[in-house]
Amino acid sequence: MKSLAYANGMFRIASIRCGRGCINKLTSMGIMPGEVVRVINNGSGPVIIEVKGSRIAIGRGVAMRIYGEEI
Amino acid sequence: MKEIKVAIIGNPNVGKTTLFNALTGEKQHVGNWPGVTVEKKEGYGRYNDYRLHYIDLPGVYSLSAYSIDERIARNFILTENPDVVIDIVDATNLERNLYLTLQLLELKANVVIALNFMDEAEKRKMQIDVNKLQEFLGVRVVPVIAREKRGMDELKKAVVETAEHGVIRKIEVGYGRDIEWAILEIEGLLAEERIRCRHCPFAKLCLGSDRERHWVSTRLLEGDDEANKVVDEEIAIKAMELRRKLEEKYGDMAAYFAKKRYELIGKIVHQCIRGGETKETFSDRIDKVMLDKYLGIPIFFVIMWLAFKLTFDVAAPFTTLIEMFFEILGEWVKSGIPNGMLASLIGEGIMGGVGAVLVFVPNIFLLFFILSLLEDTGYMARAAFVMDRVMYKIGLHGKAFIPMLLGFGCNVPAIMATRTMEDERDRLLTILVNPLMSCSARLPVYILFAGVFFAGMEAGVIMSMYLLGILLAVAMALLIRKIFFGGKPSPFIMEMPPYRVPILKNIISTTWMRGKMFIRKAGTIILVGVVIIWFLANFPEGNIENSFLALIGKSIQPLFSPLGWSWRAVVALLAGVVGKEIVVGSLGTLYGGNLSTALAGDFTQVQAFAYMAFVLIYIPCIATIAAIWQETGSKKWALFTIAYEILLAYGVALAIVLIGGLI
Repeated sequence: MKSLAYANGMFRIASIRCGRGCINKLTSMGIMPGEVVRVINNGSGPVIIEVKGSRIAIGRGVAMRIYGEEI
Repeated sequence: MKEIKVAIIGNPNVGKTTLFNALTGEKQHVGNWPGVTVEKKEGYGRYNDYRLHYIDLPGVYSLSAYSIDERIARNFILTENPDVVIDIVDATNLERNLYLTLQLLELKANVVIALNFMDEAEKRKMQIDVNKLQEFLGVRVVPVIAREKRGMDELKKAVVETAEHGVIRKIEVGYGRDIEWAILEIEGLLAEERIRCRHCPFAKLCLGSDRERHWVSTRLLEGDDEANKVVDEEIAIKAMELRRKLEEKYGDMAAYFAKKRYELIGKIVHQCIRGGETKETFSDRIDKVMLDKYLGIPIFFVIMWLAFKLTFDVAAPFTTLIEMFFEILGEWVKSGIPNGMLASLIGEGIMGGVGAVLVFVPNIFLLFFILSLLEDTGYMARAAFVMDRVMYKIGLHGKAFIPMLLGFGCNVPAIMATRTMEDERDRLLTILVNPLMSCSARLPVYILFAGVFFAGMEAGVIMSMYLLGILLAVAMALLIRKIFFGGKPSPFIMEMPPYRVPILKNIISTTWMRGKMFIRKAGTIILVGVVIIWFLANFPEGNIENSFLALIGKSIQPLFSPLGWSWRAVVALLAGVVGKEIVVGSLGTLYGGNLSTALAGDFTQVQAFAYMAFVLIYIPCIATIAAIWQETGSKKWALFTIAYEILLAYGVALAIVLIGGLI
């Protein structure tokens, strides 16, 4: 299992371990277990992913808690 | 003529403001939602014999009520019962946008879908089968291009039809038999209860109608804390038991509901959309530079510097003109009115007061203009992105950086600029520490004192004031968060909207509406404040030396004796509440003659430095107090800011004097 904070390329989300509000916000933006996202920018700041056709920036703190695997 | 109440809702960045402007024309009204600082926009339009009353709801991704925006949106739809809800949907991004749509349909709202950005969808070679979409969702779907005002008549027609005849058909997401049964069971329990209305923090919810009961039951199963608050404890416990039981079989209920919704959306999208390219977009390429690890921050600073310079440089001649105008007008009034007292009240008090408000106007309008420009192009989201790391460390959200920076110019527009922040606590915190950013009105005081007491090292001393302000802002941000809010800044999860060419008309209308509100609301408070200070400074004898203000100054002067300041210095501080630049003018009046020599005799170097620090920190000016009051929507926070700043100012000044005494 790899954290999204260290991922590149295509990434399949397996689990998200942040608070309810955080999970809820991610879900409403289409970021949830099972979803395949594309990592667009993973530098020093927040991670930017493409999910369901939009670009979402996720702070590193939250990105650390999103686990899955690169595919 | 029949009035139809139409709420407009949609995800952020889907062209909601553009659509709202296209529908309402010029007849708009902007205010705040009751009790909160979120902007509420209303407007009117017409279609045949109908008067359409539009209410712009905040941009949200869902109706789950975790953020204040979501709560406002969902409570409005639940309790105000708009006749129609226009759900504006980004055609290029249907899959995510429809999540909100499904939640609206579950609320049994009379939805009409405005399918925006049809031109962009075409550019990406997407074919959207509008009829099929309409069939699946059971509501009218109207393709529009809001920025070109295309499809507006069709949209209004669909709104009127929906208001008259309801949606085409009601659809269900279909959560499976077990869950549907559980929902029915809770609904049954709710129906047995007497009809009662409960206040949740932001609205009244009556469990009188089937619609509300069905919705609350669903939300209870999904594990919604707000729903728990509106039902009896017994029912809440029963619902929790049901949820636990279902979770053994289906896993976390919230995740299960979301999954089911996305499954249905996936099915719909699969059937209704053909084609579509997913290659690197133009926006992605710009972002490669804008968000670059090394270039991102320098670019951000260049843009900010330009914005800052534009705000204050372009405004400067207008500000001078306004100042001159009021000076001349004041003189003219004074010489025109025979009664000296009345002449002074109108000429100096009221004209001076109105002038003091109006000098801010060019700055504020320009600032709002530039902010909406940055927002509408999509850069604002990038700015927050770039600064998030630094800001997070000091307990502030990435979006707080711009308001903090603007504070160096003037705290009033800076505090208003926090409106771009979504999380209420993040926003409040940013507002509360903003006055510590040393605004340009404090500069004249620094220049005066640095020139007299620190000749040869003025720049360094003045710089130290700015640094002190920043350090204190950081310290207070950490402290206030720890004491009042706890936790960390809300997690940074933010959409990076594609870059778009801004629409001038939108920017101007946003600027105008926000600016107008400043003039009206802050204007009244400032005027009252200024008149009070004028009264204190001119009664009973007509000069400041023997006035009530001087009396107050002399009587509280002992409080400041540990700091070694004379009563004149204290009185100047009192007068400075109107605007900190007034401190210099008041000192001039109070000491008379050569101010530099007089000051040199009245302060030691250390006392002077402490005085500068005190001016930096103590009570924000009346305009800033008014802005805090208005933006937080409560007197409490304005008073809190005044209190903590006085204490902090005194503490810091005392520390300077004590430490300075040792050296």
